[in-house]
Parts: sequence; C-alpha cells; structure tokens
Amino acid sequence: MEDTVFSLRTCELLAISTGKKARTLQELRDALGEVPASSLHYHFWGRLMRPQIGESEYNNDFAWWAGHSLGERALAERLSVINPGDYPTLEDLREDMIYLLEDRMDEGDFFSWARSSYPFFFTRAQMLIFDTGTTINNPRELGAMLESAPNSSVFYHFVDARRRTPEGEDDFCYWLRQFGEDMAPLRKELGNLDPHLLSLEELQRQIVSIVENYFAFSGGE
Amino acid sequence: MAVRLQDYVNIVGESTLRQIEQVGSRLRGSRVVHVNSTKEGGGVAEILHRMVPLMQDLGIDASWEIVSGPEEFFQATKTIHNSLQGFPDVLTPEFQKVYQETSEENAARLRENLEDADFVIIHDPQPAGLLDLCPNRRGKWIWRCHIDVSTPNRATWRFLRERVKNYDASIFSLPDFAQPLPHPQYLIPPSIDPLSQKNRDMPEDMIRKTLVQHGIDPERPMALQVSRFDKFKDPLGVIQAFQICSKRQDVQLVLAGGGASDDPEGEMVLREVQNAAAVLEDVHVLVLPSDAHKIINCLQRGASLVLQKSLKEGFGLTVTEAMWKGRPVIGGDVGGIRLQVIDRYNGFRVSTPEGAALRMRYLLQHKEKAHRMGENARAYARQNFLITGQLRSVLALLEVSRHEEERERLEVFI
Repeated sequence: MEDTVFSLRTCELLAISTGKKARTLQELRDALGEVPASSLHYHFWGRLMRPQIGESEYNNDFAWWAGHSLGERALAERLSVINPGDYPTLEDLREDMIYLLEDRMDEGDFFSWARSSYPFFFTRAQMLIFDTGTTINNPRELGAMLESAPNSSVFYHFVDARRRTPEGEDDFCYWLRQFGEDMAPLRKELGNLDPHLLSLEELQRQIVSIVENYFAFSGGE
Repeated sequence: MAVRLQDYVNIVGESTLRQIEQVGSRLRGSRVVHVNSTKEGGGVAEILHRMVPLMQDLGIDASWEIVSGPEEFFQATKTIHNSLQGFPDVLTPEFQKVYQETSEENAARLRENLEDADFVIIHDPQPAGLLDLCPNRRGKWIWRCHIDVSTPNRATWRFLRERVKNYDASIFSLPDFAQPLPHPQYLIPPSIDPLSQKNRDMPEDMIRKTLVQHGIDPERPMALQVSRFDKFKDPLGVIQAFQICSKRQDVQLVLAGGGASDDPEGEMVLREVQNAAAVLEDVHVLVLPSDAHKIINCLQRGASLVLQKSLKEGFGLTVTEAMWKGRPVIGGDVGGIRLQVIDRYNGFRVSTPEGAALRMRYLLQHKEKAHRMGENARAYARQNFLITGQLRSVLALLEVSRHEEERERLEVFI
C-alpha cells in the first residue's frame, strides 16, 4: 500500500525540439501522426509550466496556432475544446485530433495552400523532479503544505501524476486512499477538479480551498 | 569576491536554489569545460563570466577556454555567423581552409584538456570543429548555438552541420532555430545575471552623473539602443525611427555599444552610424569599451524606453537587461525577441523604423502605461531569463545526457 508520508516534489520541464514543424494544416496533420506522444502532452499540458500572460484565449498550443497563425478561428475553437483528460491515452488523443484536422481539410471552404504566419514547432520535454524537503503524514496538513508550495509542485502532483498513477489519479487522491472511507468525499471533490481550463495558480488556489473547506466544515478524519 | 549561489536567494527564492543544488550535487567533481572565442565583449562571454564561477560554487570542476586565431579566421567565422543568420555572405574555399587550419591549431593546444573532460560545452560555430579533432574524447560534448539559424544559408549550414552532427546534444535558444540533427536538441533561453555590474541596482545620483558625463540631458526623455555596431542590430533603422519620432516629440537618442574581439565588421558599421548621426541633433553615438558595465547599467536605468530593433537576433540579452531594469522595450519582431517582448504587455514588437517611431511616440506620451509595461518587463525577466534558471537547465541537461537511455522523467534528488 502507499507510504503514509507524502513528500512534496517540484519539477522543471527541459524542452526538446522534435525537429518537426508545420506551416500548413496538411503539414500539421502529417507531423501530428509522426511525433512522439510526449509532444502532445507538452503542447496540451506543458503550456501550464510556461509563462502565461492574462487570460488565455485558447487552451492548447495547437488551437492557439490555428487561431493566431493560420487564421482558422473555427478550427481553433474545435481544437480548444478538446480536453486531454477525457482520453485514456495520448494515442487516443492523437487519433481524435487527426480526425478533426482531416474533417476540416475535407470541408468546402478549406484552402489547402493557406500558410500560417508563423510555423508550429513540435516540441517535447523531459521532466526533472526535485525534492522540496517538505513532508506531511496527516491529511489535515495538506492544505497548508500546498498553500506555500511552488506552482510546479501542483503540476507534478496534480497534472503529471495522472499519467503515472495506476488509475490515472492525482498524487493527492492516491495518497489519501490509505486513510479509508473518511477521505472518500475529499478524494471525490479533488477528482472532479478539471485542470484543463485552469492556470497552475488557479488550480493551486482551488485545491487548497477544497482541502481546507473539507476539514473546516466536514470535520473529516 | 567570487559570486556564490546563495547570493541570489533574495532574487529567485529558496526553491530555485534548492533545485540547482540538487542537480548540482549529482555533478559534483565532474570536469566541465566551456569553449568559446572571446572572453571580452558579447553576450556569450558575459554569461560564461558568471556561469563558470557558479558551477565551481556547486563543487563542479568548471573551466573556460577560448579558441584563438589569425584575423582571417575571425573573418571566416563572421562570414559563417552572417550567412547562418540568412545574409548572402559566401563561405569561400579559402575561409573553409583557414577555419580548418585554425581549428587544428587550437585542437593541438586544447586536446588533452578537452579529451579528459566529463563534459565539453562548445559555444557557437567558432570552436565547433574541435570535436572531430579530439578523437579520444571520453565525455559528453554539447554544442550551444546562441545565434538565429532559423533560415540559414544552406551551403554554410552544411559546412557547419558536418562539424556538429557528432555532438551528443545541442542547445538552441528557440524551437525556430533548431535544425535537423541526429541528436537531442534542447531549448534553453539565455539569461542575464542580476548581480553583475551591468544589472545590479545603481544610486540615482550616479545615473544622472553618468548621463551628464556623456552629454545626455537627464531632464529630457531618452531612447536607448545598446548593442554591438552590427548590421543585424539595425542601428541605422533606429536613427531613422528617431528622425520620425523627434518631429513631434522631445527625445534624445543614444546608441551605445562597442566591438567584440571576434567581430571584424564592427568598424565599418560604426562609421556608417557616426556619419548618419553627425548631421542630427540629439543623437549620441557612444563607443564604449567592453568592460563599461556600470555605464551601460546607468544608461539603461536613465532611459525612458529601450530599443532593440534587430533584423536578426538569437536572443537579445540587452532586451532582458532593460526589462530587468523596468524599462519597456521596443524590439524587432524576430528571433528570440519574440520570446522576450510580449506585445503590449512589456513592450512592443515592430518590423519597420516607422513602427518603431510610432511606438516610441506612444510610450513617451503615455507615461503611466510605459511605467506599467516596465513593471511587467521586470517581473517577466525575473520569472524567465535570469542566470539561475539557465544554470538549472544546463546542469539538468548535463545530468540527463549522462544516461545512455533517454527517460521522460528523471528524479535528480536520489
């Protein structure tokens, strides 16, 4: 079973070029079929680790490129609504995206020669994981720990975790399992939190709020 | 006194330093040799002046070597530099010959040191030929490309590619610059050192005194471009923008820069700039020695706005310097500047002298907005472009490259 102690980690992404780029929708579709799955993860989720200025108009790099560089606003909206958390694997996500691009290319008003003002560069990343030295062993300490945690801890434990825990859970829910049914409502609430439309700061605030409210009003334990 | 990593704690916080120490501890005792072509002038030398001591502070046996050569060698490497950035300079067979001969002379001098190192980081094209001339190398070799090679002259790129293809990894500043190579190409933006003479806080009276000493009126608005006198930095375009702007706006223009010992073309560009400025009021062309860090610092802090109207730019360190000092930046819409200047957030990106003139006038007329953009610029620089972040990424890359099999995640604390 899990370790009683929760060790807070942080992470950094070391970006790596895949060497693939696209100037047209056809090129995007072709490269999308060839790049490593980790590149999809980088362009959907890795953006959370990059500087974000104000409200983001689109929720992934593909949608941003389609809207801003290719001038395909309708396609950008369709790409932007894709929630990668809805897909069991990145390969499923890749398949759906390719269908979506092909559907657009089949439409009557599509200009196959339309070139973007700025190419799409397919990137992937390696993750470096660091120890913060902070540990807790009681769920009641979770909120306070997260309140002062770096944003990248939220990325590692809440976003990246879904790719490495057995049932695609975040690390907090996975850790809380060992404390029995008392924690089930909290796990459910955290599990319902969708990181797709949130920045890491917003996500961190919401997680802290859920945890603190749970212990303040439900008296869980 | 040598700088210590701990000196940065009030700027970047404990968390970042802890990460650097963790990855640094994995590399303690390793021999890391940086090689470039000059210790004075230019952004690469500035980065290495701080990167090497910080690596040493982490217990890494870091050192810095330079390649030397005759003037023809630096003409050849300048030609390589220009044509990689898309200008139609031709790398003649004579240039290729002098490049190869000089590489062999440098290899004879450096071979033992480089072959024995755990990691060798080669900066830019000038020393790139050393790898093939060190056949008994035992460590990992990384090629760090600081320049914009997004649209290179293909013949020159083929010449260089032959020399860099056998490296274990390369580093580019932006994905746009990466080229097809048979090894991982990491993307790491360059950085500035907030504690260096060029970037640390300066007293107000010293800023005023420096401006007056250089004939600049501290009571009047001033626009500044700091960069080598290099055609890619478009100093003549900046003068043209000033001419348009100053028709309706009180402003002084300062073009400050110097040469670098590996840049033989600078003299010619400087003469062109001086000739253009000679017939204009309020344009100051300052030729500064490469160690005029405090003067540059005061000029940037005394400026109302900073320009970097480059036509090609790997990554404008002077852009980050100005941002760190809370100045809004008008940058050319090219290369790394696209990563640094977020349009309307911390400055403006422009494509023409006319565009630069319009934005100069805007910032000079909207002082509150200019101030807010300057604050955004400082925060953005702190978050993304300080030496501590670059150090962490480079150390991480070295650690990752030690593992034969690439892993998507690497725990560096075990």
